[in-house]
Amino acid sequence: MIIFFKGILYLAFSFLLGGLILESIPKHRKPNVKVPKELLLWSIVLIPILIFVLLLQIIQYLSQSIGYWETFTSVLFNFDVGKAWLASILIAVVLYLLVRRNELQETTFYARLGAFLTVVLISSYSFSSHAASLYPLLGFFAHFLHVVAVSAWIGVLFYVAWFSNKRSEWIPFLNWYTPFSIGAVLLLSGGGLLLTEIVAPQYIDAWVLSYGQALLMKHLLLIPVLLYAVLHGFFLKRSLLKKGEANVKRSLQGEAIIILVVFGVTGFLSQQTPPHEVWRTLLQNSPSPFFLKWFDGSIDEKSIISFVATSETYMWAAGALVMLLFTAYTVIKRWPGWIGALLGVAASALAYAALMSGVV
Amino acid sequence: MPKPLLLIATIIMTILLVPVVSYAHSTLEGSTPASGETVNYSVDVLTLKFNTPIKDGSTVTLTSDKGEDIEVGSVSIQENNMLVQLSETLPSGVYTVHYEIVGGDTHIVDGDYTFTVKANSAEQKNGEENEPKPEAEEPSSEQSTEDDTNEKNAAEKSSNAQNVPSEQPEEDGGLSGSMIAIATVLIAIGLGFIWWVMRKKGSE
Repeated sequence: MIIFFKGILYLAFSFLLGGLILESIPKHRKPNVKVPKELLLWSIVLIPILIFVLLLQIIQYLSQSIGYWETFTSVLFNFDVGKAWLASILIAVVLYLLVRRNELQETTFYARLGAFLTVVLISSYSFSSHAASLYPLLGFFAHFLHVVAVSAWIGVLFYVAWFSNKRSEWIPFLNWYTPFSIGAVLLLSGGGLLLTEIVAPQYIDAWVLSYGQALLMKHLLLIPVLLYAVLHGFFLKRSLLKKGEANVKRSLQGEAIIILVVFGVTGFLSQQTPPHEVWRTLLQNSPSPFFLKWFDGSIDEKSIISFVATSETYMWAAGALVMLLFTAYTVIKRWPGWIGALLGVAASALAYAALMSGVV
Repeated sequence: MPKPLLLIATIIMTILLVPVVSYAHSTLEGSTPASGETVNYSVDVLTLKFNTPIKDGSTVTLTSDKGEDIEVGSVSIQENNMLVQLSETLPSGVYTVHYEIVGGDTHIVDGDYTFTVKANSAEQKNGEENEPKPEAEEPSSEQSTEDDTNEKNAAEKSSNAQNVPSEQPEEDGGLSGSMIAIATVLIAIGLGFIWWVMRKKGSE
């Protein structure tokens, strides 16, 4: 569980930011959606607690050499994580009171204020991110944009997929949500590119390590997500006009389920040693067991990983493509969301096999 | 409280609260004795230089090739540098330094390197001339006897030490320009979209 806690943290950010964004939209521009106040409040409480887990991990590690209490105060007041945590607690208290004591449905003002505070909360977390410790300015902005964009985009999706009424006006919502999503996807891929460049510049070589494997799986899982996004962005409106609103939420749920898997992988990812220099990381960490399943050669600091497409590669890739087509079919036919999600994840798995079978 | 006032108060408060100090990931830049180096004087001080300031709580341990832990007298940390004073001078042998340092952020960096001390009695004297110490006279005989036994071991280990290239030149600013350019374009277009949505929404 602890290994995925960052995934839960991103989920909490999404619930919070998505909910507050929806509440700050006038009623006639969104589906008939209910944002449960308890969910917002729980997310607000959960965020500082989850960031505290980060602190505990480092305190645990350090307290072996110096005293526990000394370590605790030192981490809290001298380390970026500590300062970020203190800041996050203060912002969370203000947010909690703001959400608790105001009726967000009545006026958009408080929700907008809350959304702004959430963005600041995320920025305090980004300050303590690994990328920011490497490149204080660039790393911070990359991480910040990445997390804010994903939370806003996916947060709104979660609510409309599960908390919206069947009888809703979808078109006015899609009119702003589609360009909003395109913008968010561009922002998060820009941020993500920078993060990858900062943390794992030797992208293919890093496949040897658990970090690289998780990063690759994450990127492959984004293929079905983007398929969903494209189908929703460009064809959902037409499909709504043609077929009406029945079961329209199902494919939104399918997209959200895959995103949950991506959050899980991201959580796992952030607990691995980042491979700034692959050979140096290999001196201290064993190669990923996933990688060893596919690779027979010896692994040492000098070995170079390269990629050669074989017939096996093409076979797996063709399978992945077929799975993607099936996924698209379930989306268009409005089948239950979990079927599409399952097929989408299967497509990613086959694409993974395609890439790994070509590694020599 | 009127709304605009509340808004301004929140903005000011949050700006004040966000921590603005950031540090970079620390790596070892150099040390004396250097990694893989063979020195022919007896060593009682180690220095480790990192590329960023490091924090209290950073530790160093020293192990001889016989597996003995060498007592570390005191460690003082000044900015990027770690000054390790040993309790006694090192006799000939191969030593492994293991460091666990804490950068300004959460990241603990650990690593080790090896150096060799070959102190024969002549050079031992040499060292004393540079840094006269009255008590240094007595251990010198002891050291020269250990010299021979360690010789073979030392030769073995030092070849080992060469395998660990901990002194590779650090690539500085290793970000590729084209990647940053692509990312910047994506972010700019993305911001454009978001701005457009917000403007459209606000106008109604």
